[in-house]
Amino acid sequence: MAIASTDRGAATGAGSGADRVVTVRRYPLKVVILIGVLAAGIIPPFVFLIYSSLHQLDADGTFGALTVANFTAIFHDRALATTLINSALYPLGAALVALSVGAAQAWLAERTDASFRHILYVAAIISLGIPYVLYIVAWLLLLSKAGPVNAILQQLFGGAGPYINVYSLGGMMFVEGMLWSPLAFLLLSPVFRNSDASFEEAASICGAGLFSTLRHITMGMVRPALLAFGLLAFIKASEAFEVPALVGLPGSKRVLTSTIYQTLTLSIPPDNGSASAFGVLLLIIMAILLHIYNRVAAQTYRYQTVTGKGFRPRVVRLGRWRHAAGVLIVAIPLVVIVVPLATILWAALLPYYQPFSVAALPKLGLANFVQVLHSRSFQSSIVNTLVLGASAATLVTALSVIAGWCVARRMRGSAVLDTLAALPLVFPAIVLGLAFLQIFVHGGTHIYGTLLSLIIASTVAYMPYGLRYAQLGVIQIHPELEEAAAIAGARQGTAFFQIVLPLLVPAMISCWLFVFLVAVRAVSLMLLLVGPDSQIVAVTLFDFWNNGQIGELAALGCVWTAIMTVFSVAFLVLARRYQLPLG
Amino acid sequence: MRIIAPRGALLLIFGAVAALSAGSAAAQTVASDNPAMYRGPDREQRLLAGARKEGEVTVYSSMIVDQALRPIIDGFEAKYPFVRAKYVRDDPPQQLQKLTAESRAGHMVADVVESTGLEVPMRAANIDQPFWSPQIAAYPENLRDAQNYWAPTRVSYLGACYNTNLVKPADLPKSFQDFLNPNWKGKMVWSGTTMGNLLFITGVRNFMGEDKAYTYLQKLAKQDIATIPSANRVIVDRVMAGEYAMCLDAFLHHPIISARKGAPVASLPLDPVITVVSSVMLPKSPPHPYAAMLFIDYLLSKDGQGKLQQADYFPARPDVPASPDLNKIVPHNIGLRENFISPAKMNADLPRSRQIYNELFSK
Repeated sequence: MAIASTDRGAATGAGSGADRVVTVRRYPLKVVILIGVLAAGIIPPFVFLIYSSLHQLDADGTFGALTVANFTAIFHDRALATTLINSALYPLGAALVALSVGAAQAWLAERTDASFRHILYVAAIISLGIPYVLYIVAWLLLLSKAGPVNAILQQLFGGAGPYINVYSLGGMMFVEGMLWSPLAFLLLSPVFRNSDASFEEAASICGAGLFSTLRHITMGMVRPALLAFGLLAFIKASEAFEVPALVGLPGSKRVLTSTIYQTLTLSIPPDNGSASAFGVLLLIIMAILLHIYNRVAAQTYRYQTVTGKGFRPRVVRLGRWRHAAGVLIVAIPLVVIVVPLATILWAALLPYYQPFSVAALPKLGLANFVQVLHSRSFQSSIVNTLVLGASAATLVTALSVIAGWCVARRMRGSAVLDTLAALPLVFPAIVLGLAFLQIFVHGGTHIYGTLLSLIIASTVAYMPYGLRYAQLGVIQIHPELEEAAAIAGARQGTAFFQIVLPLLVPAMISCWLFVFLVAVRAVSLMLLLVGPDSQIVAVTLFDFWNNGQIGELAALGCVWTAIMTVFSVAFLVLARRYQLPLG
Repeated sequence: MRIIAPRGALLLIFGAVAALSAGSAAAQTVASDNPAMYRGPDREQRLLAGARKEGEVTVYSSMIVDQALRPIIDGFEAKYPFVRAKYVRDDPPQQLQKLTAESRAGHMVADVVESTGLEVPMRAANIDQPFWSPQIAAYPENLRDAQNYWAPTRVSYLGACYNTNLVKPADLPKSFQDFLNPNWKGKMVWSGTTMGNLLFITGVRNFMGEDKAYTYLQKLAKQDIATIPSANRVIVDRVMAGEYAMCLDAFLHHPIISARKGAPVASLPLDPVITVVSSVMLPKSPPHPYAAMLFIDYLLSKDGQGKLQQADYFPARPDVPASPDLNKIVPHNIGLRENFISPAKMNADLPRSRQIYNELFSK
């Protein structure tokens, strides 16, 4: 049993077989069971991905001979250098866009007395419920060659050619940045809220102006958090698939994730081996990036902005800038949420898509909505999505509450648990999808294409997030409560269920809602796994875009966004009420 | 939270990779009572009784849902209300990816496959089976498979389409050579799929010959054609929206369907017109074999082909003519030749066409 040797073996040096058995016995039974359950979900994706990257695939879909050709082909591809450069530049640009838009909003909402500050929160909440594909399509329609933005620019500056080409590296950076900006705002606003106002006051007493204070003092205090979030956004954009596929590929701007998808879907027969080899390459890159992120995130704790003495966050008086800031506050959600959603609504009402014009007004109608609401396949994809989200969220929450408790109480073996639950982070969703595809196809499970298979994949993918929530929840509960219970004669399990669990309810609910929202939103994990009986909304939207059903895409997107807004509002209310992390 | 994998986890992974290398096999279920090739006089009754018990059929097709696939599904359900018909629309490569995965996983979902260009790959993967339908006799022999692995469903003509607001009739290309006119530079788009630019390249190679085709494509590559990796239908939508003036690889009935709704788009068939035929196939061990055969019968029948006619698709069945609007672009009606790419040719030429695309057009 290899589990035992992970930390004990290293500590005691080479031990005999008998020693190891003893070591295993020292792990509490619940930890051993949890390790078993998590390992069963988390280890196979690595195994199958590596295995299929090292084997030929025969015409009938069976694994053939052992080969390294999949890897050598990657390095002989003359497009590899360009792909790698794109893969580095695109997340960098996206992170900068997300960070600047998000930080600007966080500062305005938390540190100033600008008008209409609360609009920012409302907009950010709504955005949590919008499927990525829908949001990206909205921007593609807005920024297309014949779209309204180019039309306005041509009106203003004359000239025939379009000013903006959205199908470019810049377009990818912009759309991905916009996609992440609401989360950047939600994650950064507590940082701005909690930074000590006395430094800013001192600066203004010394005669520093508003912008000088902002630049030298406020930004100085939040810089470590900005760096950490920037890196997180960089990692998220590196593993993103939706923008590279929908924005990048039409402009021939390939990154690693979209290359994996193209390798699988453009060739007959599908080239699983090369795709897996690209997946392994991406896995290694992600592991390195996450390692760097961990070190940076650990560093940020060295900068304490909330101290015990005289802490009082205060807002900056903007004076004559107050109304200008108010205009900005209205403008940001308008650009980030309102205009994209309005574009989608416009597309949903048209029989075929055309850019906004007065001439098109008589063509508006509800035919697409009627189609969507009456179609059995749409109804079942909505039900499937809700079942998938709810099941994955429930499983992740249940597993991570117990695991989080074991880890936070430093039980024996909890280091193994912690590492195991965090391992899926190195998988970009499209690669995890590919790995699970190999498992379901070659593993003899007979569950390929079922909703169950999607639930398993989602549970594994979102375990790291669940564990993070649960751990933070448990840390807030002092062990002396359980110690008191033990003195009173309660067993450890009783103490957990009767004392810890009830106190964890708020953390569990927000964990549940967070996993639910993430699980139903993304396309990339599910894209290769769904079958006709397990269609889900996000993948249906993606297929609609590629199949030319923009009207139905938009109508389904509108209906779904309305449903999801209820969930995201619930999530935010809870998270703010119990001061839990938002991402 | 730490993310660094301890040695134990790595050991576990590599151990399992090694264990898996020892060998794996998945079971294939074979239906004991297979109606696929049954020709007895009670065939119809058997199919109806079997389909009634099954109550369901799943159709994989590459037809555009709101144009053709949904009307056919609705027509089938109206005729056989006791069978619930489900459909999945994908481009051919994704269809094949799903079908091979289902077959390998021992969990077949598709009952019927309707597609273009999958006839040979499905045979190579050995995931289909022969079938017989009384309707097949109505189809010309050159479009059928001698071994009964596929039967034709519809004909498609590949050609250009243009935005009628952006292109004046006098400026329209009159031959493939006219696409090389510098006026078109940066204004053209094509679909980056096997049925899109790769079929276009195969078509050009077929009628020009390899050398001339390569020279022509070299010049075409200088025209900065935008490649969108979506179905041909999407490319027509982009032309309608005014993003591009012209597309090179529309299925010629798509612009006509949209023009009827008032969209500013028209088809442009150029001599010789690239012509392909789509087929229906039967997977090995479909979960609903009786309903599958019932659906194949319907798709090949006059009724089913009539749905294609009404949808402005080109029926493959000779006794169901194309709609009057479509007749105006059927090549032999307007004095143009057909550049027929058979399923075998399409498949055999695909690798070289992809290679040419990568050499000349891939950025």
